[in-house]
Amino acid sequence: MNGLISIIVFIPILASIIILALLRNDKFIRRFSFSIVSIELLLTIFAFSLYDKAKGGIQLVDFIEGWIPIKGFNANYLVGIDGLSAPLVLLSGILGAAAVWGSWRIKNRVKEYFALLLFLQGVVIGVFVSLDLLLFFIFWEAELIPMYFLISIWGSGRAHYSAAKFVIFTLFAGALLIIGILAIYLSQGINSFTMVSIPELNLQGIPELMTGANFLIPVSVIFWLFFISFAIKLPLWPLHSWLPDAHTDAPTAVSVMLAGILLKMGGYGIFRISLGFFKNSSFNFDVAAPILVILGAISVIYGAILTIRQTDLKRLIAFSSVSHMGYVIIGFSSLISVVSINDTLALNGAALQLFTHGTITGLAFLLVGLVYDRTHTRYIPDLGGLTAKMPIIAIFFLIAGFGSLGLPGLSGFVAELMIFLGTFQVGNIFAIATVIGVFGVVLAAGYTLWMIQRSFFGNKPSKESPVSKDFEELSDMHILDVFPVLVLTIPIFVVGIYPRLLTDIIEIGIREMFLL
Amino acid sequence: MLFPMIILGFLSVVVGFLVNPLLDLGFVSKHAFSHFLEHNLFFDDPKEFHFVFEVAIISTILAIMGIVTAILVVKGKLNIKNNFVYKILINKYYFDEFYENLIVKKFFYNKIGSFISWIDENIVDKSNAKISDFTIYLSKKMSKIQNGHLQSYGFVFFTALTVLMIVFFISNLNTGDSWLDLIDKLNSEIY
Repeated sequence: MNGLISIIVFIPILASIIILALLRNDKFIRRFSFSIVSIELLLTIFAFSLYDKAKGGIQLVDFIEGWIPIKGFNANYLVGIDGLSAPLVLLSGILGAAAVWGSWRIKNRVKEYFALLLFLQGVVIGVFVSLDLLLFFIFWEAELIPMYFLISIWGSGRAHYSAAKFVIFTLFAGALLIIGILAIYLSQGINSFTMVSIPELNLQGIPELMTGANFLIPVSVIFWLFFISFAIKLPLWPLHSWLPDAHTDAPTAVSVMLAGILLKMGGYGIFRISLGFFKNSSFNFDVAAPILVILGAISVIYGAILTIRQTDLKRLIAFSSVSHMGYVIIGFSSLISVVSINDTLALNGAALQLFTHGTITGLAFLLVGLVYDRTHTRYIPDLGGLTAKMPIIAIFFLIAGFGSLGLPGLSGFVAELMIFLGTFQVGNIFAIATVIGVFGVVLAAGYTLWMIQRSFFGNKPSKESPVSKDFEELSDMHILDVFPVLVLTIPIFVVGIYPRLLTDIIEIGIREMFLL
Repeated sequence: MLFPMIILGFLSVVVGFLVNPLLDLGFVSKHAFSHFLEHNLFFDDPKEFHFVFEVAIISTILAIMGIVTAILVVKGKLNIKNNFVYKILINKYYFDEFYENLIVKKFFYNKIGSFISWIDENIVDKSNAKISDFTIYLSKKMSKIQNGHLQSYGFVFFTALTVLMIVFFISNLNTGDSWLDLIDKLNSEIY
């Protein structure tokens, strides 16, 4: 029993309860939340640095056996991190901090807002560290509670519609997930919720038990139940239609959390369960992998073309997420050819893409929020020449844009290059899909630069634009906005310049899934 | 601006002589650039190159014509603004316009882009709406069953029971059991 991971999960949740139950003063609540996420950021960095790469495996484990006292119910409280989840826990720390720090302007229902935001951060970290399927599912569903209220109360536009759409889609994903979990749990020879094997605790995980199991329903059905569930969350074409609405209508901080870590829950599930559970089972990836890579390639191009046509800054970035998450699936499909550690390049890249997209898109949403606060519009034709009035915001917007289009030196490049190299080597349809994916990068350059060109450079807004009247009064970044922006920008550069910081640890996680 | 341009202009005139001098200059050997080019992928067997008089004459004449034209245009003695060649050249063979308007705007943005948008709005997104509409439709239809009349609940209950029993007996037709055996079996299956 180490306790660190449990502390990381429950500090924000506890803090949200404290805010709701004890605190009254808005100013104090704001400061309290700022300090909680700062502590959380330090703790996640600490946990990440504590992970011993030489030792590998699951580390910092907290284990309470049979925490639900029902006879014959083998659910445990089991949390810990491995090479796959450690970067995502770090990402949650970073984005949680950015989201809360970036919310200092919130005036409406401050108490509820920060309580829900902190609760959200806690449960999402819970998803990443849970090693027991039931616990995983509880955290997975608990995330919906704060999200629904955050979007529908503090959102803009069709906030109620988008919140409901998001909840229904995610609940549907959750329904498929619970069917999959039960099908696995009730299958003869498994009867366990443990997601990984931990030899030190004498725990046999599902990946190990899958080989000899006698499944209740065909194993391919179970695979697709899980996969569709995660694909909704990721999101993968054609299950993406909740995402643009939810992103566009959510408040800035929630868009940051949504793009930054909630989408990564789907990616994490794909790695942990779709790959981790099924690669040793009788499930045949030879049929599934080509389907996945085609869906991934469609997502990339489809998302990118739709992105180009968007006229709302937030909606534009939302659609670019669909495109970028397509790369994760393209990289993931290369699992079909993995026989040695040399073949996991694309899988490492896909797992790294989860992290890099989190920081880059988080930054982009944060900056769109800053622009919107000043101009009160996100409609691109109404903007223009903003660099003259907000040069610092423009600089960071360029960094986010360049990161998004995969400029070498920034983190997006590393992940995408790894995915392309690794998947191209598989050959056949995978090589074709990779080539299509590379064209997605060209389109990414198109939509990113065109968006920045139209909103930040060029002429001042025309007379008809609502921005033109107060254009001269527009201000640049406030000193308090520097912190959330920097906390997201630093990882973009650090990972871009020294990717081994993450790839080394991700490789351990991937390697252990294949028992290489 | 003039001074840097003088430096650049001077260098651009003399640099050709310097990198490929006709004589050995000491710090640059004779025909240095030509010898450098000898050793590359395409000339692994370097041959002797001769000075071709015709080529030199033609290129020199073309260069002088260009210089004379430029002087005339700058001095205003020659008006080329309405020249067809001039228009093509000044617009870079209209390649940018062709690419920007036809390929990017007309074909990619308007045709492909709007087609994908249409699919996203009318097929992908609408199919979700259709599914939710269908759920609402079903729940409206089914809410009619809950009409509060005890007799209709009873009717449904006994109809369903009868159907289930018929199914049970039909599925046991070929087992050879007598009716009483079947009723016993039914009893044991219920409890």
